[in-house]
Amino acid sequence: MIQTHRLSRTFGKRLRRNQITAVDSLSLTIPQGELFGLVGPDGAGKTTTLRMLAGILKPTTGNATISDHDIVDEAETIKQSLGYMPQQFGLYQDLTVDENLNFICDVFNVVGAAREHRIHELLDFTNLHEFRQRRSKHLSGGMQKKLGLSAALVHKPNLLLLDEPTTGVDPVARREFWDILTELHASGSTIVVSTPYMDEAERCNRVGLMYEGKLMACDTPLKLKQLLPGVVYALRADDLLRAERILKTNASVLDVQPYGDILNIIVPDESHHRQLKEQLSQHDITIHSLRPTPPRLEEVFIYLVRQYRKDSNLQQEQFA
Amino acid sequence: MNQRHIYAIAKKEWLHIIRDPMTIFLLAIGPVLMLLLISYAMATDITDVPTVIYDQDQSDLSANLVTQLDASDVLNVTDHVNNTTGYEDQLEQRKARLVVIIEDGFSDQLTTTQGLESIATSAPRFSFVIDGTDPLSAETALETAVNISGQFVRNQLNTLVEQPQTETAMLPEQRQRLRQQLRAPVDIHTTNRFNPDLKAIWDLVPAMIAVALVLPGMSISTVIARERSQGTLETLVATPISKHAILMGKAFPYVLIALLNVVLMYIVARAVFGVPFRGNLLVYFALSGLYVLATLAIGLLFSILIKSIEAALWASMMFFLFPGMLLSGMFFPVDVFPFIVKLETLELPVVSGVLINRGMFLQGVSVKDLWWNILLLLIIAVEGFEIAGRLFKKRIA
Amino acid sequence: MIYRILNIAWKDLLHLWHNRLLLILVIFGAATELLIVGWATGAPVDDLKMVVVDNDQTAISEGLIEHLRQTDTLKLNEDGVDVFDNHDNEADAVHDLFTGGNFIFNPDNIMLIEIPAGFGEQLKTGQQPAIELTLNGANSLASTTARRVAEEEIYKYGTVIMVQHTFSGTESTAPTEIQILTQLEQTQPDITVKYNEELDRAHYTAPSEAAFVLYIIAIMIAAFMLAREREYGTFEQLLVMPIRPIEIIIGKAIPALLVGYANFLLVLVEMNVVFDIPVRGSLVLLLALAAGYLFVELGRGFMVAMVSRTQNQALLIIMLVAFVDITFAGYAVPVESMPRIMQLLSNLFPIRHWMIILRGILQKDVGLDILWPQLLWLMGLGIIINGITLWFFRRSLTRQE
Repeated sequence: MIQTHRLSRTFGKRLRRNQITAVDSLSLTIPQGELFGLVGPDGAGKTTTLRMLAGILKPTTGNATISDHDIVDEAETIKQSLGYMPQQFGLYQDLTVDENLNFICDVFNVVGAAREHRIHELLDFTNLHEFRQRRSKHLSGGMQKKLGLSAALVHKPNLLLLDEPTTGVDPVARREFWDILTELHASGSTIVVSTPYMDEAERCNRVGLMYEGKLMACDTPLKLKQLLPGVVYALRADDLLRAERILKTNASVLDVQPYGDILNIIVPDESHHRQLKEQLSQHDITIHSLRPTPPRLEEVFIYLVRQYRKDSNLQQEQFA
Repeated sequence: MNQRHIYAIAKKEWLHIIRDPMTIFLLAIGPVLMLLLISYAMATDITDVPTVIYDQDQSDLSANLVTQLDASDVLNVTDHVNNTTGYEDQLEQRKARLVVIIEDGFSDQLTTTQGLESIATSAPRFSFVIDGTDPLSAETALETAVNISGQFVRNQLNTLVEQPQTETAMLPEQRQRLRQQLRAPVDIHTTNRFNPDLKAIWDLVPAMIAVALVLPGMSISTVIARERSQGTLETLVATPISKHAILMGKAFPYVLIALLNVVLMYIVARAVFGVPFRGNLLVYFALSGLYVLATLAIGLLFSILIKSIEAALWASMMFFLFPGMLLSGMFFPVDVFPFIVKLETLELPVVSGVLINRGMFLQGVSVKDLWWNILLLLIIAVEGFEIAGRLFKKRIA
Repeated sequence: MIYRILNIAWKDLLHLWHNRLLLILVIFGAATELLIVGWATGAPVDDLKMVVVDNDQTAISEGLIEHLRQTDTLKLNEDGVDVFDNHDNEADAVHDLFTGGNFIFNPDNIMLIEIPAGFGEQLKTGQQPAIELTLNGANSLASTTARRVAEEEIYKYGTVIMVQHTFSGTESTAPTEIQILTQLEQTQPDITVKYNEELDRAHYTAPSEAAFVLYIIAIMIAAFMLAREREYGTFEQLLVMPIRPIEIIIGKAIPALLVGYANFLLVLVEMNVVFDIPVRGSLVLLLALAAGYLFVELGRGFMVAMVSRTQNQALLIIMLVAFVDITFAGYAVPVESMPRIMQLLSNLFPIRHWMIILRGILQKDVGLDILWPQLLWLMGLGIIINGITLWFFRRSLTRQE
């Protein structure tokens, strides 16, 4: 359904030296009916990618098609069956929930009895019935996101582009949101969601990892985890800071990632367990627990990013 | 479907305006308020110009002249001084704008024979000093003072001339000569068409209507920039709504409000200020609509071209407000501007607006008399909307 | 305290710098407007179209027409007479003459002069022939000017003819036209024009526009910068920081002051160089008072920002306020000519006092000894206005917007 070919977007002027490449030569294919997660930190290029696909931002180079329609030349056609939800709340603050929805219905030509029915459905879906007459500026963050999603769904589009729909939303609302998304997906929609939350990425059919505008990896969550060479051990100890420093000097350790009160240590295989324990006690670190733990996308991602940076530093040094 | 879109945007825009009581008040009542306030303050016929008298003659006759000067509406005698510094100080302090100096020998000239002889050849025994800072009122004040003084002298002489031979020492030839000098060579009848009593209000109020109507044009200059800053533009452009529908829908409520203003201001002009209306009412409203469309077109252009809200507001202010009063033709006729300035005023709808309003209220003109201004406004409106449509892209950046 | 003030000032300056388009518009736009306005209003009123209907058709009536035509002010529209043929009655013809023109290529006729049959004879024999002058009342400045010039020419010409005729048929030679006119001139009262000898209208309008420009820049920049912060919610942030409200006001005032000042200097130079209106009085005093005035007007701008919820609102309010302000300042019509109540009220407007100061120092050479009332008023108004604004600030702290 979606096919991009070296899609790129730069901002700023080269002459003024403030040029940023927000999206760098992005090529991916998303088949119909897939729930695709676009994952990466702030500034990775997720929003820019989604905006280009939605036809509201022109790519600098490269091209893409949605259902065989070009995103630049046939943007307006694509918009007919597209539901887009921007990152910031994109509806009118001084209008009520009802007025906002009615407006969108007008725009998408949902009229008459079908409109009443549809709005009712959406309010059901999102549990917003009792807030129908409330001005949207007086809704909580989570409710605003739900309203944004409803607006994107009014015309039952077969493609949804959602830009960080759950950022800033409480865990309960997040769960509800994803339940809605799962239902939609089950009924056949193609959904592209961007999110900084790795745990959400796990729920997708496939995940694309973006960093500094580039697509670093793109596969199912399972396959992505397999990219991590080795095993992850979770360390609980006092003075994790010192432990991290020590372990980083260890040549056989592939990566060390702090995570709150845990230190994730990546080693090639289980055989390194004992060596780790020894190294730590040698330095007087009291270990509370050191257990293998299944890798999550988070670890994969951080590992990949660090590799990438190491490689590009090497490259820079080579050219220096 | 297109209609529905326009209607949807218009409805939404309308709600935005309505939900903000301040804005609706300003837009709906603002122009009328402006019309009332400003017209009242500015439509002043030149009156009560502060005048100071330096009476060197100190005679009954000079006192008489002073009384007559004071009796005029235009002049207001505020003080008498005894020396030159006296009045120079007052001029400097802006306490006086006109000084009438009645010289020593004033009454002699009008009562003795030698005096009478000198009338034909020498300057009269009074002179004037005027503060030229504001030329318009200065000229009027001066003209009035000169006329009154001149008339005073003539009346004096007339009385003298007609006195029986026994009472004066005038020779018949003198009398004859004086008679001749006193007669004005030509009797000039002046009528003022369209505004017989030269009421400043009649002159000002119709023009002010045009000037007050720039408010909607200015308010619309931020509609796109505002959506952008609120983040709603992104949602809007991701929908299949056409850009023309967006622009037209946004303009729509402002057109309505502006027309409402026209009606209100018309009522005020007629009922409160008593300005006559001599044109065709229907045509007037149609032309007002055209005028409003022209100003809105430009406002819309600003809103599309300028991304920052403040810059858009400033630009629209510079275009509508700065030249508003002085270049609109309200005070100074555009006819007499240098050619280049005239060219610049071509793009100002307000100039045509002033002409149309003055034309329809005072002159009772019809469409064929206004064809040039109508054409101008049409071009501005059509071109403005067309360029706006072309420049507006349904994109974020 | 100074440090915090400078901090805020710097931040706002950065805002302005990021909005360079606005800055350019502000400074050069205002200067250009001044130029155009001064130029336009300074232009002499001439080439006013007049139509003359000569029912006498004698050498004398033609002589009069020739004299009228030779003035700079009046321009003879010879085709105008034909218009009468196209209409049944005079009223319609006149209507046609006075309307329907455009302001670029074909302005309206301003005046119609009708010379009656027998004019020449009657004039020679001192019988006071009548001339009908009809003026286009829709164009009051032009028609007043035209009337004055026409009256003067008719009077002069008539006197010349009459006097010359008195001498014809006698032995003494008739005085020439020049001699008669010179003598006529001598019998006119002496008129001295002070402060604007050429009676150039630009002398009045350029300073008006200059004062207005400073006013509008001050009040708008202040209002916008504050309204923007309020609209975006960053103002709330400011209020909960350890900064005192008065420091916020002063800090925000500084960039606006700088821009206003820069503009003012530009405008002064422009007036001096282009319009020949130098600063006759003390430049130092003017600059000092300008700064003081700016502070007051900035306070008003802030006040407007505090009562509006969006920038758009702020603009609308300022527009209304501006029109009222400039009326009471004597921008177009001198305050002395207004109704007494208005004159009294005008004192409440800072720009009124500023206008007095500017004109005083520019066109006369007045010093503080004369301007002290203005200074007092400005100080008083400044304290009140900024006081109210401060109160608004404090109220924001406790209220929930």
